[in-house]
Amino acid sequence: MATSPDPVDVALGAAAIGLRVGVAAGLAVGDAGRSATRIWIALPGVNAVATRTASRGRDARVQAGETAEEVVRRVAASGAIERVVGQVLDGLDMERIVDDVLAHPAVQRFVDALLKSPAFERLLYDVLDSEFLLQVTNRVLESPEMQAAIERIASSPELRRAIADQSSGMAREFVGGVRRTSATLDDVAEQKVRGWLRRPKPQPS
Amino acid sequence: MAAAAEAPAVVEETELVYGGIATRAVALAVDSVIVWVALLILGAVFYAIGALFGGIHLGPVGKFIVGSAAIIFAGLYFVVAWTTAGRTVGQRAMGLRVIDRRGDPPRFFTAVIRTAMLGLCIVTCFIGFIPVLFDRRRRGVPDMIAMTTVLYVPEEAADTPSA
Repeated sequence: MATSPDPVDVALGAAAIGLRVGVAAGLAVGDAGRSATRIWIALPGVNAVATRTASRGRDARVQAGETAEEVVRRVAASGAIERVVGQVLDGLDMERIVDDVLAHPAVQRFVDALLKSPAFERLLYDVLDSEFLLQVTNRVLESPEMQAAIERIASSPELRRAIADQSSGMAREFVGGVRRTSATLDDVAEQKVRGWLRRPKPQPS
Repeated sequence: MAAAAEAPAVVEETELVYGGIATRAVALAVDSVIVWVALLILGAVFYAIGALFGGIHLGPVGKFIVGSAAIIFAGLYFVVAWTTAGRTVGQRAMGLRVIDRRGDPPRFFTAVIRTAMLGLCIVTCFIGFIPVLFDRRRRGVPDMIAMTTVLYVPEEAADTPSA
């Protein structure tokens, strides 16, 4: 049993066909006009007129190009582009956009699939084992910027304070251990000698 | 035994804990190292200065004077530490404090006597410290003669960052 077509689909199909026909007709008219112009300027006596007309056309094209360049130059000099770009960027919540993109299920699925992929794992191992990575690492480590960064980190007060705190903590722990051990030895030695001398340890009053 | 490690050597009064022989020995060892290092540095400085003038060549009298100066320097370390802080660096690390009969840090004369007796005990192979093992206030001969006692003050030691 045939179902009747949706009127909306029919209307959209008609519009699409009309658009295609219109475009084809426009192109055909354009081709016909160009062919007619070629025939027309080939006629005796018309060529000179056509040449002058073409000359004016070229002048108009050059002038239009110069005018367009001047407009672009003025717009660029006025800073309008920077203002517009700045306003657009100000209006965008980049952090939220990035969060949304990263939290999108499709991205999550892609990342999960990538991490589970043996091919990706092999690729990573290949990259890690490659000579290229070793050279890049060496170049980065030997670069003046990296040396400056290391020197800056090494001389930072925060790092020095952390090292000093850790060192003093270890020293305090060591001293505490020695103190506890020696206190135990105090008692043991005293009890031994008091045992030999048969002098009991006095009870606290 | 574990309890003894936590609360060592309560002898007579519940609040006073006297320093035992092992703790005092460690403190004395630390002080000896400090004195020796200081003497080595001083000796190196004097040797370097003497080298500028052709070197130092000591005769018997000179050696006696240098040795006496080293002994006096070591003695001064203990006297100054006891009279000013009531404890040497080693005793501070071990949480010990020296007090006189009044409970204050030893005065100069008391500290000098205690230092002299300490030296005598060291020379006689530490025999003078044997009474620490059985005296009820854990006093050695230097403490008995100088009338001082050595207290164990662990909470002060805990406040000390390092020796």
